[in-house]
Amino acid sequence: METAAVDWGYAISTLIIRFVGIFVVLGILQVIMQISGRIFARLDAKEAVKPPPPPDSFTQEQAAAVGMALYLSERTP
Amino acid sequence: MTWDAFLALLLNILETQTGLFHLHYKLIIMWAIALLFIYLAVAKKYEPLLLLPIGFGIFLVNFPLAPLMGFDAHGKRELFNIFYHYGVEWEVIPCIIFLGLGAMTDFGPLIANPKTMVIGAGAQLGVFITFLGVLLFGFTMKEAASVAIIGGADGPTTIYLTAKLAPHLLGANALAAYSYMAMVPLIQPPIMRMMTNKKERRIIMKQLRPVSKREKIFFPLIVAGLIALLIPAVTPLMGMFMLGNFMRESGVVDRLAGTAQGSLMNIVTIFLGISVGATMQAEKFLTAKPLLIFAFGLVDFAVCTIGGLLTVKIMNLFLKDKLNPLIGSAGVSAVPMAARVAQTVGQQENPNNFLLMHAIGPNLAGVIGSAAAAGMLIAMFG
Repeated sequence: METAAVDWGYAISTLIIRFVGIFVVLGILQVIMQISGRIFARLDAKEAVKPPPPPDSFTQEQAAAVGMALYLSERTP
Repeated sequence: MTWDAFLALLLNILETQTGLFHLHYKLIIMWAIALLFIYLAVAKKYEPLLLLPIGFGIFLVNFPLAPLMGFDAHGKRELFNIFYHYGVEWEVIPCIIFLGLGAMTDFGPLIANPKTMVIGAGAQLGVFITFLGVLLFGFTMKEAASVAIIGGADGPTTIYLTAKLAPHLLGANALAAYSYMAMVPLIQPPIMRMMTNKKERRIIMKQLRPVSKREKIFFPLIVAGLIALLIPAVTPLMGMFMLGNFMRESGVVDRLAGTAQGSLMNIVTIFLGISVGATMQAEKFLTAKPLLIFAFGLVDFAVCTIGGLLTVKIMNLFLKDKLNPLIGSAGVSAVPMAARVAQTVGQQENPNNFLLMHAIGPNLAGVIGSAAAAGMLIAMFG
């Protein structure tokens, strides 16, 4: 097996930088995930406490008309 | 025709048109290796989806005169050579496998506990230590980088990096990676027990918070963007991984997500297995290097496991809610086997301790971490 000429100083120093680099990349990702998690949790909480929209209400005339329509539809053979 | 002329013709046919006269002890050794991996896949069910086609590929390609990995008389590639050239050399298959993996993966446990992201970085320790160790044994820098990534315990990443940096080691590296991934339940538990005490192994972690759909949709966009910005060399792999996950989480392209994680994944797995096996021809494979690769692969796995465990122990010095150090071992990727091992070892100490979901977080961080390590190595030597 041939022995490759290795620049050990370069190899070790660049490896240390790269290993730390992985921590930096995943660390940044962690921080971004923590921040975005908080933002999303706040948004979700805001949506959860929003009062439900009021139910559509009928005027007396409309209610009477609906009642009459139902009555007639039931009576129709 | 005289009897002598007939015999001469027969001998000529046997010599030039059959493999009988070209058999060699090296080929027989390769058949034994092929049958060993086929046995592991079929009888022991060790990573059968890959070891089976790899084993069969090794078997077929080590028959003399079989037109599989070379070029024909017209200069056209033969069958396995076509699979290898367009699938692996062109780096297509590992990326498509990552697309399927993304479509299969639920990042919820990692999003719920982003602290575990750093464990995926710590578990790459073995990659860098092995790199130096391999250099001592006369490997070139590119070869050493391709061997070192085995500890990342990620098959497609190993294949992607090796195809780029040292394609002649593809067979040995891929086999070592998949073999050790299958052996995670044997390799990791003794190291986990050695590196932790009973009290640490009994730590019960807080239940994970629920993760909203919106978070899951944004996650692949954030990861893809960040990785493409900081480690562009690995964008093809991570980009496809996150695309698959985005298809899954968006919920609007179920058919595409289903195809990516089903049929498409199965198709490329067949071609990947055959291509990797086909690179293991006797004259290329039977050297000292594959043996060293297997030895270093084991050391690499062990050091990566230690790196993950140590990272959690160091994190625990600063955390109020302690993490169970056993989940650190899952930082080596090998999804979901390594997480299952953490769960099993944890339950041996405390049957009421359920670590699986907690371990999936570092497990997925390990996939991102090993891809990041591969990106760093490609940036150095690619």
